[in-house]
Amino acid sequence: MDTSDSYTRFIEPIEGQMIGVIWRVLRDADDSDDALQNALTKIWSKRRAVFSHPNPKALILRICINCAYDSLRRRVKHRRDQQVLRERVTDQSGQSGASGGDVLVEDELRQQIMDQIVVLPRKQAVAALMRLVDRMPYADIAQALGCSETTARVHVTRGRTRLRERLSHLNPTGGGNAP
Amino acid sequence: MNNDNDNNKTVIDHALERSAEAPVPPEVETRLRARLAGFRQKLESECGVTPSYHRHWVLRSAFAAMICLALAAALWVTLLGGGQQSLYAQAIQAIEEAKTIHATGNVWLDGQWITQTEVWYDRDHGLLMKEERGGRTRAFLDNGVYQWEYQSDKGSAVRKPSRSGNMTAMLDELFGVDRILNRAQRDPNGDRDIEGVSCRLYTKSFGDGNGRGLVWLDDQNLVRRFEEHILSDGQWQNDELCTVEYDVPMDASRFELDVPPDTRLVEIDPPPGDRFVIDDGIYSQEILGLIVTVHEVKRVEGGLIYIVHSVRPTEETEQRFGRLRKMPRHGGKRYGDTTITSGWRRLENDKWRSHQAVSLAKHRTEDGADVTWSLLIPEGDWPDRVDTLDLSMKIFAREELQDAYEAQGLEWHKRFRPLTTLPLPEVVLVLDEVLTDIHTRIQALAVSEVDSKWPWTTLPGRMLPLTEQKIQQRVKFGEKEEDLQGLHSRRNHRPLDVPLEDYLEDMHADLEWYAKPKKPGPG
Repeated sequence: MDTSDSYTRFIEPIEGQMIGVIWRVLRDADDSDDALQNALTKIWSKRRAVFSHPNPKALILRICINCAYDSLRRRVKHRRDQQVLRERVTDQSGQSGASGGDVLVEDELRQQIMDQIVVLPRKQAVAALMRLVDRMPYADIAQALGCSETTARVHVTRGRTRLRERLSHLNPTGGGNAP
Repeated sequence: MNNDNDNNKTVIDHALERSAEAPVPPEVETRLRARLAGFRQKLESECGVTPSYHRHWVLRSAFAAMICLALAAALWVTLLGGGQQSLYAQAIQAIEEAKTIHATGNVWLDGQWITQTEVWYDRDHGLLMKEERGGRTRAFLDNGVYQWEYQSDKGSAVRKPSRSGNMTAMLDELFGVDRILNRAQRDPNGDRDIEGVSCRLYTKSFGDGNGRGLVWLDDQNLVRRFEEHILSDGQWQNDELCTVEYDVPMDASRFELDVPPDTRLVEIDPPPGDRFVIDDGIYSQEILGLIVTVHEVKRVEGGLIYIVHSVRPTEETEQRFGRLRKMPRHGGKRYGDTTITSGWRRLENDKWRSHQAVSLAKHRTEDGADVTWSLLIPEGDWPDRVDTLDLSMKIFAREELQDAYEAQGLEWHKRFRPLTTLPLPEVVLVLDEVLTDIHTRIQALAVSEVDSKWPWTTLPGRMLPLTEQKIQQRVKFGEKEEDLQGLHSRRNHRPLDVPLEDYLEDMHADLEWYAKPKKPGPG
């Protein structure tokens, strides 16, 4: 298969979307750069399959989201490890850590949501990110995930429901305390 | 069942919606688009060669490969020991502990290893990297006095001041330390002797399992050998190999410039006075973990005020979060930035006055200070002559520094009205002479960035309405088209692409645009 014009046909029209979705998940220049690099590596290694897919653009976006998701998981794990380490150090030194603000600021809220997204099952997480962060149509999500549109909706809905449950303390109507 | 039309939206839904609307910062977009451009090139010229960008976890390029191993070698020690030191501190320790390092980088071509790159590092004499590829030679030398970059195809060697006092940053520039060491797995089945030394194997896969790296460590946990393999038709194939030796004797003469006699030598030194050190400033203040310094304030014809200021992280900030330098991997990352605000002030009789700041140039110094040249246009009711400038400014912490303030519930940005009051000199300068001087200085500062992927020194272009393409691009990112109509923006250019005549013309046009009456308001 000649892939020489594949970039113009399949990637160029969604360059901005690829960049946007990775950035919105990660919000870090280095991590976004790495995630895009990983995504391009995967696209390259499976280029024939990717470019002959029924919906190459959706699949490419799924690969991007997958890579951003992987990077996010690593980052969350790293942060948790660091947190544990800091707590140990704090315990040993007998000093109390800096107290968090009373108001949950936007980035903290986003971070908490992302922390919970990474513990969702992968398909739910990826579908939720595609729908909620990238606003992809269900038809495209379905094609990218290789499932029916109904299944895609189920993934998104379950993902969102789990997020709401796990973050119920953030919702005034969710049974927890309001921030 | 919840769906997208659910009226009972939660805080989470709203946060995700806002997240979906967040625009990508221009510097990030530039960086990622550059990566896409590289991919396009590879795809369009596909000839069965595996693209080098997929050698992700270690080798950004063969040229950089050696140095990454040199550095990684000592890093393994503390990583595997589970130490609590930061990777950055480990890197510093690694450099300090290795007396000499010699590494070779080889690629697998036609069934054999071909040496492309060699690195020599001597703690007392410097760093030398040589790469032979496609009939071209590139060399990088820092001998503690000067830093040289030689390229045979250009027939030139460019000299800059040494950065050996900051060797760690120099190494970090070539290689992302943490990435090489993250998530490698022990594989006892691959343990082997290398040059009589018993070594243990650690492996790591990348590229969705289509690539793997193998690293052998000796009993001191130093890297002795690194191999990278690519999966091709279900079989692992050799791709790259690096070997590393430690504390081998090295002749000091190796760290002297050795280039063909007809090589053109280009000496680049920052213009006198353009080092932007804090001590040379006329005002300096530490705020929010940053140091804001004013370097120049001058009076310009037409009531304009010319000001040069910089912002840089404090030493403490750098120690906490790592140093930022003119490194490709850092791109436009910065721990803080500033905006000169209008200093709007209500006067008697319902009159007001303020300044409109117009950026004329930007530059990042080798030691990580971001410098901005600006002109302040007077607006509103000003007397014929003023003798002082009330400099108003917003100062923002960014990146990890911002995160740290936010995590503690502290303010991460501050507004000062004014930050300071500065005396204005008597002499009134001619605008075109000021602009010409800036252009000349910026050209000199930008010469060293000719081959740089990231433009740290820029000149702004003319203020223009957003193009339809740009509007549609931003609409895709969630902005409303009606909000974008009528908006203007300026595009930054690499200085060497901007002739003086164009710069003068653009800046005059910009000053005219900015000077148009606008709705006044506090700033």
